[in-house]
Amino acid sequence: MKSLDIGAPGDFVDHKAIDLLKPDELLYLRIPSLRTLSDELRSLVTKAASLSSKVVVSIPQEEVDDLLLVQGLFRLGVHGIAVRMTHRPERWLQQHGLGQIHSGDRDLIERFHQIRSSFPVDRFLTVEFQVQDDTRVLGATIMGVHQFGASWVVLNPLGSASSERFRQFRDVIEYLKIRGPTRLNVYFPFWKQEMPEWDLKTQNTFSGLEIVHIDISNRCSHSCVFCGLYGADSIDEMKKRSGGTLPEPLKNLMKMEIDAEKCLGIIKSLPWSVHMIQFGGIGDPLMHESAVDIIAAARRRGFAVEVLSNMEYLNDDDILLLHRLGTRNWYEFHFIANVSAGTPELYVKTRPRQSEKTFEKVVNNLRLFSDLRNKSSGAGAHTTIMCVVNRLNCLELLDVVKLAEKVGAWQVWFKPMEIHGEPHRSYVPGEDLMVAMARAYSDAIAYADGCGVNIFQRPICEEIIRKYSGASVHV
Amino acid sequence: MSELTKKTNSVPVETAEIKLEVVNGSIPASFYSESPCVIGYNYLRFEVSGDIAPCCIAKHRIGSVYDQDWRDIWFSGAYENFRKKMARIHVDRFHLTDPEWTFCQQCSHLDQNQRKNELLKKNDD
Repeated sequence: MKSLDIGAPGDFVDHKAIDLLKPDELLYLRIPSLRTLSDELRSLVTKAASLSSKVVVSIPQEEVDDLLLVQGLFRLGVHGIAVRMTHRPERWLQQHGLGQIHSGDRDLIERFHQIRSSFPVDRFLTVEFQVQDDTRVLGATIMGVHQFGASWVVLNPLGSASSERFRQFRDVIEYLKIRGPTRLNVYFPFWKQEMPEWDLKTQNTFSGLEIVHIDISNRCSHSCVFCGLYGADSIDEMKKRSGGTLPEPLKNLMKMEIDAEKCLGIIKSLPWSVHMIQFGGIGDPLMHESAVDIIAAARRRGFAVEVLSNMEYLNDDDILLLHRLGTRNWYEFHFIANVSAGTPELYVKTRPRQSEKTFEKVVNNLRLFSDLRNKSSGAGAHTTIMCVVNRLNCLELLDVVKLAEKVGAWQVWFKPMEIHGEPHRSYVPGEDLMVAMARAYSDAIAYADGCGVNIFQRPICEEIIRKYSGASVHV
Repeated sequence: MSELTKKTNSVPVETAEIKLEVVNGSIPASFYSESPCVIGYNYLRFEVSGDIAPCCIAKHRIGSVYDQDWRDIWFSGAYENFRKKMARIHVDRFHLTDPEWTFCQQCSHLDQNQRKNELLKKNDD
């Protein structure tokens, strides 16, 4: 493929490139305006069209409606046209909002459809897009025009070819790799950098980043017994091992937080193949003083967000702000609240350094999210009550579901502590508890089904019931 | 940072192994003898220190965002090596014997991995 930008004042025309054109070689000519095309350039286009069977001319969108102009171009022997269609993401987002991102710029797609309908059937028609932020809308728009017959599109940098543009190109390609049609070709005629890894024809959907996990804080004030780092027993053991105090490197690790600017930069740079950002880690993400801003930034870029927290640190204003970032789809924005108990007594038992007041605060926060959702016809941030099933709480799972019902949580997640990060092994339920635990699972699931609370990762619960009670699983 | 991480991640996994068959739910116990792990292709974790981990429980760290752009790390040879290694887990089964890789036995995303594999098999058909 050869590409030439011709017709602008002072442009040097590479006649040699035209002379060496092969019969099946694609020539992409970008012209500022057909109306100002000089005789010299007309003869150049004619010559190119006589040498190659694939000459495509890029023209501005407003000129494609001028049939005389377009027919004049075809008379020169040109085989196809690329319409430079303007996509303005900022304005688009203001008009349509985040919820419409994956439908793309429908106005532009519809306009392309209209052009295609009245376009000569024996001529090739495609679109040249200028790459800019927001690349998520652009990717969906490309898929939209592909539906209406654009078998390939051209991406062109808006303004100078900066490293930021380079990243945006890559974002679009990443998105198309994971979501785009397999037979769509994308050309970058004016990008001089070698990009072999971007050849869509040789890539499959195996290479798209989908889920990003960001640890924003290692700090946590809770003392869950099953936690391998902050658990009361874990802390005592680590102190004992190092002579009575925690080792300095470990203390530093427990204080670490991500730099807020750096984190916002990462969120901004994520390609739109990403569909979810998880905030979690070895501490509680909501301990970070910019946590709400960081979460809001992720939501405003249109990513689904999952936050794993003990839910103590939010105040009412934060909750109101976060509520507004949610939708009716729980997956779009949800909090996984690690409560791991259904009653204040058990809560304190599993978190020896917390009091019943903390439990009350967590319950109030969960309830406020639920109340706000009810007032907004079901839209808002959703909550999952996570119960890390351990030796202390494994027989009281029904209480957790009852708590979820009480605070209006969306779902309950019974997570065996063996797969919860780095567990403190002495709290793994022993074999002697298994039969009773399976019964507790069974009762909890039956109650959840009766009251409309969802069970996350239900097959794991069902497997435990099958394995240890031999009873049929409640459906 | 990697030194620190190693220290805090050094909790033994023997207890977890006992009930793997159970906690994996509907996933067959032989899961990793049948399917490759695709985590390297679709997941990335940023730690507070800026270190990048290719999996949520992996001990491996591949670069830091304070040294280079994360996208360069994602496209790096080291990341590619991790992907290739994990894509052969069902053949080489190193997670059963190599202490550096036994963390795979604590994986809580086996069901997601299986779904992804099924999807990819369908696409191949």
